[in-house]
Amino acid sequence: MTPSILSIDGVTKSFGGLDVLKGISLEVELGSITGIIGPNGAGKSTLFDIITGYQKSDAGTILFEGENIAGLSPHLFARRGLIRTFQLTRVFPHLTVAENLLVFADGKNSAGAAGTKDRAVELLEFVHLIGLANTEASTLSYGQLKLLELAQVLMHSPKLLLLDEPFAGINPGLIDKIIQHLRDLNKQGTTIVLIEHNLPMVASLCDSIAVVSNGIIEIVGPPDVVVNNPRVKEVFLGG
Amino acid sequence: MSTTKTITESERAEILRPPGLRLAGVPVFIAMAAILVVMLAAPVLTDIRFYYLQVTIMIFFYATLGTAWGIVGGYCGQHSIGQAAFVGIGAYTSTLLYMKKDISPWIGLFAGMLLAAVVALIIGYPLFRYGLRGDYFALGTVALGLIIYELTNSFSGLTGGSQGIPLKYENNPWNFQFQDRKYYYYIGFILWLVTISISYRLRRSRRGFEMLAVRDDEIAASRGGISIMRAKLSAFVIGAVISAAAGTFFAQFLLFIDPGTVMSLEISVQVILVAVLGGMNSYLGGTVGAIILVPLSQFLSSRFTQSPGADVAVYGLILIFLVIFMPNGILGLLRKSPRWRKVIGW
Repeated sequence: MTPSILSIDGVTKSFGGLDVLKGISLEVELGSITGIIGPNGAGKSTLFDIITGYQKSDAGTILFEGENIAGLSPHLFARRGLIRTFQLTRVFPHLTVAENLLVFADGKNSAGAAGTKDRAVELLEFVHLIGLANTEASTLSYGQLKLLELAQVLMHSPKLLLLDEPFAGINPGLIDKIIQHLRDLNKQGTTIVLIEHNLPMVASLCDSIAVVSNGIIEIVGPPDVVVNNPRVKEVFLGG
Repeated sequence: MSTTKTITESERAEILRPPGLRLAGVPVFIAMAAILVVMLAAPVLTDIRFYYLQVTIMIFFYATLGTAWGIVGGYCGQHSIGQAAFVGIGAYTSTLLYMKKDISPWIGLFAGMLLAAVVALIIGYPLFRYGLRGDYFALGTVALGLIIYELTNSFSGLTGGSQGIPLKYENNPWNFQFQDRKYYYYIGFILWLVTISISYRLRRSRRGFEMLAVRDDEIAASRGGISIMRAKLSAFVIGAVISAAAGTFFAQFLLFIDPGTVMSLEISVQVILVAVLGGMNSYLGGTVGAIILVPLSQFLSSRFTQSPGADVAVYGLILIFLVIFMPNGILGLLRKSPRWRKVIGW
């Protein structure tokens, strides 16, 4: 059996009287690509926030490589090799596009193999932003910001990469390339968990899919099992 | 990794080139070197009037403080309104050591810097630890300034309170005192140059990059492994230490200190204005701001001697006008040019 890189057990979270997560448990296998799908407001992004220390859970445990990571400062996650993107992109708007990547180059901040300056240029070429390298990031379009954020997290050579709707707003022609790159990254050893609404895309990319609805995981399994589940069909494919 | 567009080696080098003055080109570089030489030679070679010498020394003083504030407010985005507290700490530490223990102000200079660093750590840690950001951080630093101001007033047995402390004068370089005011000019010049160098090197360093990242988006920075606390505290302490050094210089230059002179809210505000007008994101912003605002302030106060307050009103109007039309300051006008952006370290 493949060991888990991330073990989530009984995680709950409420905001006031609203129970957003009602006991989420999930095992993410080392070296896998796991998709998390679910309707808006199901608690997917909140789960990412809790995993990466931006919010505290009310109950439950989260183990990363077998170690309880609850209470760690968010910046320590990156150093341990756990990196994420956000649903609403977060980059450094007043730095140039190149500086947005260089800020993570050749530093102690990067996890695993530290990012190099050359890697920053390679990534900018990859996401088609090389022509805008010296432009202030605040001038980029939403799709370009998504690409820049993706390039940022790829500077780190993460062990576990959490992607929150990575393809939203991106040119369809580039999505295939990014998917291929994620597959390559996965083959090199990076475990990936991604939140995405496009079920066929998730099914084609992921080894396993978890369906979150109303704060619980309704079903977890291989893509064919999940896609053919009547409840999933009803919610995502219109029956 | 697959790529769709390749770039030349020179383009690659250009993208990776750190900010720096060299990018300005040889003519600008030579012009700047010439200005420095003229600045060094002016007091010796020309019969500079006492008034202009004093104004230039004040430009050095405010340029130093504006540049130091730029590290905290411009690089790291922490808009401290209590920076004068550190000026006061530097001024009072060296003065009290000199007056009470006969310790040279040169040694007091470093003692003041050390004390300012400790105070910045003690105050900064809880402010940052409990997440005071933006306006709340600014209010916290106002409180810091007021507390230190009032404490200095209250402990009059030690500090002289509102009566202040006139420094005993001996024309002795070891006491940081000179009959010839030109020496203050040169010390001010060195203080400013060292501060600019620190700010410049910081802008090109990894720590400086971390400050910029924290300024722009704390969550994105922490996601990338940057310690928010470390970046903010570093900026706050560096700003405090430089301000304290300027405080000692100011005390020795005036040969008199009281809370209103060396740690008032007016000084804090003036320092912010200097940095904002020049362009607080640039290591040169404080200098540009001081070159404009200090003489302007002096000119207006001399023009309106019969109408007290009118100079401040005109000064305020000019600033409102400038901030409306140049919110990024004078150097901010250059930020859209990739080359000049790197030259000024925006």
